Amino acid sequence: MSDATSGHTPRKPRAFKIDDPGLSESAPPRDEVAPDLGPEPASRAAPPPLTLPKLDIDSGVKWGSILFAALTAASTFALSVWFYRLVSVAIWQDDWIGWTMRILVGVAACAVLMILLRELVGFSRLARLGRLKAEIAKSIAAPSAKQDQAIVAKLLALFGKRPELRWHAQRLKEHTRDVHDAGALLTLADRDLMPEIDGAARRLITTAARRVAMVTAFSPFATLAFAFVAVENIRLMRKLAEVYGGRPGFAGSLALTRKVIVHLLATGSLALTDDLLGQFIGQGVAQRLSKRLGEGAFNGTLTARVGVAAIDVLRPLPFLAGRPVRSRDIVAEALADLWGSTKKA
Amino acid sequence: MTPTIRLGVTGLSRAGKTVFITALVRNLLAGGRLPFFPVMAEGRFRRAYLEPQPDDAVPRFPYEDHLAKLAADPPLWPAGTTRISQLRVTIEYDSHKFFRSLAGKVGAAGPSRLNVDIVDYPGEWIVDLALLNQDFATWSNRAIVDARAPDRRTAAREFLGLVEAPAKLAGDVEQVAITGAKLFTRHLAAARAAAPALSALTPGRFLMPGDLDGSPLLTFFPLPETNSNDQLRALLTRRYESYKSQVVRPFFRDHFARLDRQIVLMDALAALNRGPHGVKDLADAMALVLEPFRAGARTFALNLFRPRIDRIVFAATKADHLNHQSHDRLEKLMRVLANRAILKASDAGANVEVLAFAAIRSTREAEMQAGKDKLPCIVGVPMAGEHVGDVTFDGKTETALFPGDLPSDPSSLLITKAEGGIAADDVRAVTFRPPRLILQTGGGQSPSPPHIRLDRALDFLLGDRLR
Repeated sequence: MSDATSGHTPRKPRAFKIDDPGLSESAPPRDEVAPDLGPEPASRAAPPPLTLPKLDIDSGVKWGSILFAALTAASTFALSVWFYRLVSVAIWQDDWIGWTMRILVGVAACAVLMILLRELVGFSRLARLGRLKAEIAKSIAAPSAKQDQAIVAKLLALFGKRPELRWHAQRLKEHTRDVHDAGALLTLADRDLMPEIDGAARRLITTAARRVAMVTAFSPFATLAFAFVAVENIRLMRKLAEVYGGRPGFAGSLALTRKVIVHLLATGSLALTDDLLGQFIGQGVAQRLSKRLGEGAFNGTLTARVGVAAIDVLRPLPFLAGRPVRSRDIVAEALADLWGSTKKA
Repeated sequence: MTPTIRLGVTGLSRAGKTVFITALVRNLLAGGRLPFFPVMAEGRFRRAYLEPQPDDAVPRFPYEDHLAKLAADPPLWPAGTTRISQLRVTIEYDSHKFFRSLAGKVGAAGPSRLNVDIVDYPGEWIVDLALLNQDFATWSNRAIVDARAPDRRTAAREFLGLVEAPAKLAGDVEQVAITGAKLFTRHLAAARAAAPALSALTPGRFLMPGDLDGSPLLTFFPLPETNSNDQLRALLTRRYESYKSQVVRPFFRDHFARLDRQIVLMDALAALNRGPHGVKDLADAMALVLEPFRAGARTFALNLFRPRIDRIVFAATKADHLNHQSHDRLEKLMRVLANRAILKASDAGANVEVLAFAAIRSTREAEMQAGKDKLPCIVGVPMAGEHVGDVTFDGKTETALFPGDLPSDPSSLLITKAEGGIAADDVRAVTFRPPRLILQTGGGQSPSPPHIRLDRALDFLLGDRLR
């Protein structure tokens, strides 16, 4: 029974030449000299194969959607046929009308192509983020140093090029060689790389929440305020996605919005009891002072919560070492101004 | 008054004490890469500096000389320690305790400070601590049995020739004691040359006399029980007891009895190179050495009268001689090796951490595709004269090395191949050249050498006092 290792017999020690073709170093040799923080070559890797993001709740055949899609398709088709007739009549005229039409159609086709492309790239960015997130979740469930290193390399590719993160990224890169404990590297990435990004996200959410609260409180028409809240929220999500490295196009933002809403619904009831309620008990006085101000506070809080939910959806790493972004803090910060401005007014 | 931590660095000779202290001081002074040393990671670390030697009777640890060696071309490992030396590092940091940080913010107090006192000494001496609990007869029997062990027979032939022939021991006891001590010393030196870094060869001062060279304290030797020369036995016993009371006890009292924290360095890989025999020797030696230390939970009352060691790191040094995939198994082996000490310390309430560790990392990691197998390798420049299988290294060529698989069950390392364990050459850890240290770059930075888990060890040893 000489089998001491699990499964196979122990392998004998061996020496290899350094130029052996079978040899691959886990990480490039590091010089002990100070790292050069000069501009790095902008070699952005080719985008990964395009796959649309899968939503967790998409399952089963949805006849309603099919009906809606079919009706939409039919009307679009009718419209297209009419438009096609119109254009084809114009386009074959061999005068200035024809030429103008041809140029316009060409430009339109070009624009449509570009929009489509951009949407696809946007989707692929979101999908890449989703894949990274899944990978990280797997690595946290079953820690493996090797997988961690691959993940950190991806995180660095995602964030390392940003000028404000270059220093942090450099530090993290140095550590990837030194740290060999499974799980430790992800903690380090969370601590070194993410706070800067979280800070940016936090500022975005605070600004949006403040704006929403202000506009709701002071707008003359409720509908106007409602439209503003909707637009501002979608814009916030899109900006947040950009901050976390998954800048989506228009359709992408809609998909993202849906995910965020699902997330809000899934966690909302729980969160409502702990912080939203607290906010309103605290602000009951202001609310009684003015119904408008109360609405402003509510919409501001809602925006903050949407933003935080979006972070949960978008942030590739869970909060391992960093301080979680909490809507409670953001609301307090964003609405402090609102109270201040009303006192002055 | 600045609080002081006395950090004990315990290890047999060649376990890496001097390298550990040098690397630790360099990393603190130069602000090294210590991502898991919170005081640095959180940006609360201000600076660290070497305090002037606090104790005038003890030489200062020659930190700069050791650095110069590592920075030489080609770089060298610091030479073995031949005498005791001491160093005090002071760390300045921003406390995040509420009142301390408040006082700092309003300018009522400067940064917080912590002194770390570290002692370096020849590893040969530490094995003497085992003598404290043995009388002459016990020690003699043990030494004689060891000398008769098959792998020491050649080294001990001369000495055994003397003590096993009663006729040769007759005559003037003083002269016999001197001759016997000389032969015994020669035997110890030969035994050490055969297996450095391993066994507990007592008394340590015979090998590394320091300033006691030629002193009558060092003229005794183990006498077999069967010998009936009472006069000689009385003299040797007296000398042995004086050695204990005048050499070993002061050494222990001055440098080890008041430790706050301890790191125990063990070169488990050197033991592995020698097979089950070596592993067992090392385990026995460490158990004896760690016996006199007082470990345990710290309470206020105890703290006043009997300071105790409340945190101990057991570090399997030279972990850079294995790929990191084997570090888990190295730690398991370490747990088996230091089993008794770990149990004793944790029973008494001390916190114990076991780490695969390298104060200075001399290798890089790589993978070798050999047939269907992927062998986790390390890349470095093996020291001249080291060998793996039939390849001998010249000390200049960079080589990739697969050191062999450590068994998943470490207790199989304690039994021989025939009994289902491993053979001596199943795992081959080779010593590498250190990476060349750059004292100062053109940009004015002082980089620290790479390490493995030095920051974790530091956090465990000092972190709670740097809050």
